[in-house]
Amino acid sequence: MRNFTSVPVKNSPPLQSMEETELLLAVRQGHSAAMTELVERNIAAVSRVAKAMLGNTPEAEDVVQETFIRFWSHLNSYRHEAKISTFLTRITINLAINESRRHQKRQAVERPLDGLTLNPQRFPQTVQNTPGDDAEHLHTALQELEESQRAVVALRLLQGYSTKETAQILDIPLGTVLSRLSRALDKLKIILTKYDNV
Amino acid sequence: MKKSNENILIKGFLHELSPEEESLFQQLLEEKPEAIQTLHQWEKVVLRLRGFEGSLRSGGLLVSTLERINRLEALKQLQFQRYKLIRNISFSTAAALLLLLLYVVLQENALNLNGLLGIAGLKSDDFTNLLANY
Repeated sequence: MRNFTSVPVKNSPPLQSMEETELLLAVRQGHSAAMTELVERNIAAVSRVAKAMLGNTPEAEDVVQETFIRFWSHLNSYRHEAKISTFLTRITINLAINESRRHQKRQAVERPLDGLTLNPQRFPQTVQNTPGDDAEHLHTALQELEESQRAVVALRLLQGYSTKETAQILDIPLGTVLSRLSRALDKLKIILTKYDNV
Repeated sequence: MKKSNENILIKGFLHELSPEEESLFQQLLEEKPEAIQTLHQWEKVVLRLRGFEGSLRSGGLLVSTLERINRLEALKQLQFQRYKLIRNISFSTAAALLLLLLYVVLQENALNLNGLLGIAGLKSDDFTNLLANY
């Protein structure tokens, strides 16, 4: 049982300058400040991936929180084979894909004929699609991609992972990453051209 | 476009070509002008994606995430306290039962149920016993 304390870690450098391994050790010893530092270091990246996958939605925010909670609850089984950020990204992608599938099922039940057209209402919070708002267009365009393509775009183009790292995180062959990426770019090009012409 | 060409094109776009692939890429660009157009279009998409990264910021998520973790931690600690209490009660009960058993064994020189229940010395409540006591 971890027992979180706010007492600073004794005989150790300040948390901000700690290496990942030391920080992880401090978290395992129950130092809440170390957990805060760990969340602070990684939340921007996790949020970027979740929001690229699910749009600017409460679901994406839930996924961000859930990612850290999963990590925190499974600290003892984490063996630090990959960097913490990579491990967190993997959790985020899995949670986001699950959430996306749940959302699709709900939509299929609620509106069975709605999936065939370009659907800016797929995620309710991205509905406020002000004309000319490029960010909103991109959010909506990303939601039109298949989730497997969206994951590749999020990791390779938005998160800046290499193709090899992307393949490792998603556990797919390198060639699959490349073909999904080229198809995603083609599709994004078509969707964005549609928006530009509206 | 053929799958092999598609792979060369995307690898070229990502600057991940091997020296052998580099010549194939150049050849593809010379032979297929639409490949150059595709590269330009992809470039535009990527530029727009880069511009949009700002809208993916985490905002106030740090505070809410830490709050959720702290709430869960408090809940876990409460559950742990409860577990400790139940464990202590169980151990005490088991110890008391063990002492009782030991006492019965020492008193009766045997382990029997009546001794354990404290009714080993009682006679059956029949007519003969009632008359004898009377």
